[in-house]
Amino acid sequence: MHIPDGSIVLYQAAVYWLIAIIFIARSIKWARSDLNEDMIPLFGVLAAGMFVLQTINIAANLLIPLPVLGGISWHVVGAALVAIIFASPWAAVLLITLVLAVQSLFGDGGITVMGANILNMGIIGGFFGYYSFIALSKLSVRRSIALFAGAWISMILPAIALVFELWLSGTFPLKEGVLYMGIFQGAAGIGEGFITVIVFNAIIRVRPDIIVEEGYKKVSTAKVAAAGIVAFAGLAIAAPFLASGDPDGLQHTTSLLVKDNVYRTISPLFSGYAIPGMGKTGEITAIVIGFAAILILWFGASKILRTADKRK
Amino acid sequence: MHISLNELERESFRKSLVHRIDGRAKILMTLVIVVYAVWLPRMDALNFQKLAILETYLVALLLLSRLEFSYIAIRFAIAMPFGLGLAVLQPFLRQPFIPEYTVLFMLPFGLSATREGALFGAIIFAKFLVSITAVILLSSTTSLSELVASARRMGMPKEMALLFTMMVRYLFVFSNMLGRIRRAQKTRCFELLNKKVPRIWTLNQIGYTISSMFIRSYEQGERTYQSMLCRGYNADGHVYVGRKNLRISDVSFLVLTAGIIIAAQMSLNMGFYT
Repeated sequence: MHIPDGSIVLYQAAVYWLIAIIFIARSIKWARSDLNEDMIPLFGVLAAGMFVLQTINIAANLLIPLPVLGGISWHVVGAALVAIIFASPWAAVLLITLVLAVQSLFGDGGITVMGANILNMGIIGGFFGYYSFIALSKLSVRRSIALFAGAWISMILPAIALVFELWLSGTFPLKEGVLYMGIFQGAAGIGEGFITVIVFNAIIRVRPDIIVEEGYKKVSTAKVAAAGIVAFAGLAIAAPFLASGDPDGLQHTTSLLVKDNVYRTISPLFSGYAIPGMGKTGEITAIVIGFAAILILWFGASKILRTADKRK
Repeated sequence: MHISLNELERESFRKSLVHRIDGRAKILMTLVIVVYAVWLPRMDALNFQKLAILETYLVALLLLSRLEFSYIAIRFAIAMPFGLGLAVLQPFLRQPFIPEYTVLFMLPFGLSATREGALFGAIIFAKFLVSITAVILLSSTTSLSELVASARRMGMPKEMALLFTMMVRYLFVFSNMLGRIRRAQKTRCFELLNKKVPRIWTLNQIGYTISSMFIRSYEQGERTYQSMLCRGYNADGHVYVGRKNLRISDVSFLVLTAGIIIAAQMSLNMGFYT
């Protein structure tokens, strides 16, 4: 998962560094003030523990008993875990940054690309892992399922982001990358999910005071929605590049069955999910417009439902 | 196969010409060499000789630092997989920025290797090799605490400095702690892929090991933090770092490195690759 030096072009690596630095600065501010105490020394010590627990390699065979996987192992990242325990994604950004910095000295992840690695594992993993957990908790999903999902998302989204970064540098093709990394990290995410549930339950038994248990109730829905919108918007921008030019199964079957122009008579707003004459930009715009339309409908529906509720 | 923190520290406390150089000079050298290597164009056969000059320089420094050979070999072997994997795949991929391809040979399933892809892969690998050699040299000849102190002397923000100081201080404590936990598990015949116990049980045990590490390090953090508070720690406090002037040998080392990089950049085509 750690990108090595040389595989990302320098100016792009600089952009990722810039994003990472902004987030790191904010995370330090969080460690200083959000807990009403200057907790920086504590996090420094905890980062050492995080580094060491990431050296525990777990054989892939343990989860998926296939002989092919012999020799392959993964380790826990814990971005979602720490974000959930400290009820803030900034904890993940801070701790993962420290761990990655020391790991780079071991040759695990490069120096110019450390910004990209922090962006993937700390920022994307931490934020989306955390907010998926919060969103599911708000929907009263069982805690262990919400934890598992949060941890899984904190593994799969960084993998997709990583493939995009490599693709932008021309180092790896997008579709194949997403497929392979998706399979690999998807499997590793299952392990991360199980471990996160076990660790969270163990910590809550031993030190319930560390964990803000009902913390999710305090997180405003707007924040969760914002995280969701960012995630979906990211995927919307990514989708056109990933989509296959071949017709999907349903279209193919229809074209086999219906020889005449039945389904051509219904002309959709954006045929083929694209705006003619605009290329990829058109496809992205079409998806974003579609997405915005869904959001407006969703907000509208929830408002109507809420007013209906109040009238009762 | 892995390198423990203790082995890293053992090597970084050896005595040699390279070990004696100031940490700041070595950090600067590593950064400049890595950035230079990555900055080189994506598709230029001249890269090889530039990177070869740098690699020779770094290997010479590694030899001068009198590190254990098996240690260096293991460190390279650990760092290789992802970088090497990315490079090896390149001949079979179609890089979007290359306009035309010459096919070298065909493989089943519609795969084919291209000359341009191979060149790009080799350049990625060369850049990666130089970067990793620089990092291995830095981390094997400078102790972690010296690295942090040097970074602080170079103007690292004080919050970051404090975080890294605390982290480096406790890395070894926790690494030994995990070693003890593992030894205790081993004496009880704990095995990751033991078929006689259910997998979920094994997974639980790993989870408990991780929880234990997490809670122990959190509680150590609390104790350390409280004892710091008792001694008057507050957000405005600074961690003391002694002044250390750069010696003539450190400056000449930097000048030499700069000279090597300039020489590499200016070097004419010596015919490594045609």
